[in-house]
Amino acid sequence: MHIYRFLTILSVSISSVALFSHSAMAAPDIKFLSVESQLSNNILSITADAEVGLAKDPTEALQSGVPLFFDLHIEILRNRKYIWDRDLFKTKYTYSLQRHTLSKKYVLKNLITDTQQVHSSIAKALESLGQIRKLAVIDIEELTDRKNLVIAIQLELKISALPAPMMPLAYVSPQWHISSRKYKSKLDL
Amino acid sequence: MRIRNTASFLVTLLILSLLGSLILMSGAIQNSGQFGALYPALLLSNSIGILVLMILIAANIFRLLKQLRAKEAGARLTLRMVIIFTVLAVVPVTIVYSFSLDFLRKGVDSWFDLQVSDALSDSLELSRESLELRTRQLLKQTEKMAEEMSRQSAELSALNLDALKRPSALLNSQHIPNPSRLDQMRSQNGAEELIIMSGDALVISSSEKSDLLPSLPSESIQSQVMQGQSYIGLNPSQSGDLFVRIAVKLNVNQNSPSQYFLHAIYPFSSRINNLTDRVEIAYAQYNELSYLREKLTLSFAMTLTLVLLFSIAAAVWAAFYSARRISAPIRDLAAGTAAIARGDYTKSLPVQSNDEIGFLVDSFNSMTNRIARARNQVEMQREYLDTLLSQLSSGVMALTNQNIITTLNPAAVKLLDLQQVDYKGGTIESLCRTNTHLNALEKELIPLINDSREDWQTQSTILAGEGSRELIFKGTKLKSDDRVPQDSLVIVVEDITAIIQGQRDAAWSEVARRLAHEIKNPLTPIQLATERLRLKYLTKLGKTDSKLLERLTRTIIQQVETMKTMVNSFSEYANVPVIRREKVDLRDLIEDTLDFFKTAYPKATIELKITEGIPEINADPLRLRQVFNNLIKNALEASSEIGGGHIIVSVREVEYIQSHYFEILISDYGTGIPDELIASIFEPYVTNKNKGSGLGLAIVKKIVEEHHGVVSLKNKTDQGVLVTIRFPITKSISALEVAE
Repeated sequence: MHIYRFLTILSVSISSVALFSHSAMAAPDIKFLSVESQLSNNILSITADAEVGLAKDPTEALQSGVPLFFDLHIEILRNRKYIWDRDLFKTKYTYSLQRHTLSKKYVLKNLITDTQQVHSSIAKALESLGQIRKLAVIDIEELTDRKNLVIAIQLELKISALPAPMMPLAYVSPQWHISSRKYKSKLDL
Repeated sequence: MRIRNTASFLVTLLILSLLGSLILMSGAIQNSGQFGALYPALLLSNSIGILVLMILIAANIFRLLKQLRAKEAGARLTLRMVIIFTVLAVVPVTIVYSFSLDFLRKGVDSWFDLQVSDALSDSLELSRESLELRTRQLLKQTEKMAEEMSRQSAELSALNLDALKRPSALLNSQHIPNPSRLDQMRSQNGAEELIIMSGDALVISSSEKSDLLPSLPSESIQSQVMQGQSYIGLNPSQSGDLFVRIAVKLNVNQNSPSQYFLHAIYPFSSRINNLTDRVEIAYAQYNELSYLREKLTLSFAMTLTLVLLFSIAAAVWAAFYSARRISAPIRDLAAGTAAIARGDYTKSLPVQSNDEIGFLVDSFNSMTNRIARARNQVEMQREYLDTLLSQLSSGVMALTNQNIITTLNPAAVKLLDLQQVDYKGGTIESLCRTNTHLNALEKELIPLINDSREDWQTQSTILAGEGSRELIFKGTKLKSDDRVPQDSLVIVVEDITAIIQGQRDAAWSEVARRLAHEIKNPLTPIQLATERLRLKYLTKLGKTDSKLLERLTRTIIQQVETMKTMVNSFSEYANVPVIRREKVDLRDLIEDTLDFFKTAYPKATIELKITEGIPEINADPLRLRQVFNNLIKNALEASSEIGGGHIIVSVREVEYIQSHYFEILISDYGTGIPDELIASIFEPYVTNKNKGSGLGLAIVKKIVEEHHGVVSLKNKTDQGVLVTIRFPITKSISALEVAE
């Protein structure tokens, strides 16, 4: 009987910690201000503006030479009335942000398009990260039914790309849970 | 057993999985690229695995505590072994852990040498100074080019700038600046790119070493330059090489509304790039490691702690497992011993090993087998003795020295006319008190039982349901020895009623025969002489004398007749019976008898209760009729004294102490018989009536016994007398015999 009581208390404690952690993680440090989609030559591209902020620990890590990786998730969903939306298409762009010690610059790279920008400060680099300009998403010929479409975008820091010794603390520390809410916008094609 | 093996297998699998997972986690820490992404998952799974192991251990501890509280066999041994195993495992592991932690911390610290750190910083600073020097030279070169271009402002001012906005038009325009001059200046100054741009970010003219699109400056650079401040910046390129970006304002015509600036990009030599790249990488890695120093130490410590916890948990679980396995045969042995103590000799233990414990278990099994065989022999002997005792016609009673009955055979129960069969475990005193007819026996028997004599004998009369019974009690004391566990007493009971009665009946028959012979012989001469005397002298004497003679002789003759009748009765009692058996319907016989008495006693109430299905019996009907006549006559005479008379005659089949009987009950509602006569009422000359020879009931008893029956008489608790006659069915008058 005692063992069952112990297991009950343990499971309740773990659930409480998980809920608390989740609520702590939920606070967004990235905020999308606008998201627009453009169609050109059947290629759907996206332009967005976001405010990206870094807490003390990630900033310190970046300044110490630890590269930070950000994932930009783009999804095209079909909006359904009574049940959850259906995924039609998903893509991901990964950005890296790293300090170049010798030049004292911050290099922001899009690892998918293999383009880079060099910035003199973290603020400018983050500002540049938040400025998404005409990013190609999909050839709309791939979408057979184009009714009730929604485009969703989310930018988040990739904790799993951090060096292994940093990961356990990063997973439990709210400072490292840098993510935007999933920003959804109606897509008229 | 199968469930236990499966559980052990699963736990072993868990331990092996944890071990593998810990090795992977260690790899992930040391080489992030290989297993880095798995590190948190490994950490979590290892923590959960160790938690599961801890829960298993807690469950084992809980179970062990429960066994200790219940004082189960083997629990203390298991506890002791678990403690020993745990201490043996935990102490060295903990020592290794503490040393490892210390080595780990020192090892990680040793990576970060102060001199190395300073050297790296200095090399970085040196690189920067060197690059800055080169950059300043390049700035001067660019400013020089700008001055040269400014001198050609007039020519520049003639540019059709609108045309420049349209590159296609520009190519065909006659106002195209001389690219060869720009190319010349670029090649002379070793620049990668030279671009003349307007203040509103339009490219006026450009010269590139490669065919790629020009790398344009950012808006902030343009803004800075247009405010008159030259821009100089050291930037990493896409390929990782460094280049210098310089932007300088052009002093064109002051009156012109448009402003221009020169933008130049200078590469470094591959030699410098290689050197700076190596310095950059080394410093960045060192800096990153330096930043990760504490976290790395913490991660290693965490892994080490997990390894420690895993080792301890696995060792404790293994301790429980081993202790239980080792103590299992001992626990089984204890359970087997307890079973034997309870009297269960069928317990056989499994021999699971061929070591000393296996030998012990084997010996235990042999011992229990031998005990079981010996017990079976004892049981068989006991059963044989019980069978023997149950077949004995003599009663046998065995008592302990506390007078507790240990043996009482069926014959004893029958002879003592006991109400119950099972008196074992009770005392002889309680037996006598429970059965009221043995109260007198208690006073006679108990002193003898408590006497110190080895052997004794006594004769006693008890009043059983069938009448008085003469019993002989013979006691023999048994002293305790190897065969007898304690002092005890054996009493043998024998019924000598029949012998005594036979002797008595024989004596009475002899008396009757002699009386009949001695009295009957002179009676006839006396009667004849009296009749002759009367005949000769009655007419010769006078009237008075003849009357006297006639009265005296009549009296003599009457008394002689009476004596003849009495002598005939004696003669009848003394005669050896001649039984003439034939089929008799008991119902008809009794109904005929009762019909006769209903006529003779018209006022009396005579009831007959007879069970249906009473078969015919093989008996002498005349003698049975004489029995019923005597008994019914006695009953009616007794009950007629009170009211008109009321008797009930019942006939039924009964079972009494495992024997079947026809039972005839004659019940009256008269005055009853005095208690002092009850015991001897069936003996000759015993009667409570004023008239009669006193031979009626004696003859009844004789006839009944001739038919192997028994007759008894007792006063009823309410009123009157109940006479009971029982004829055994298995004897001469049984239905089987009738069938023959």
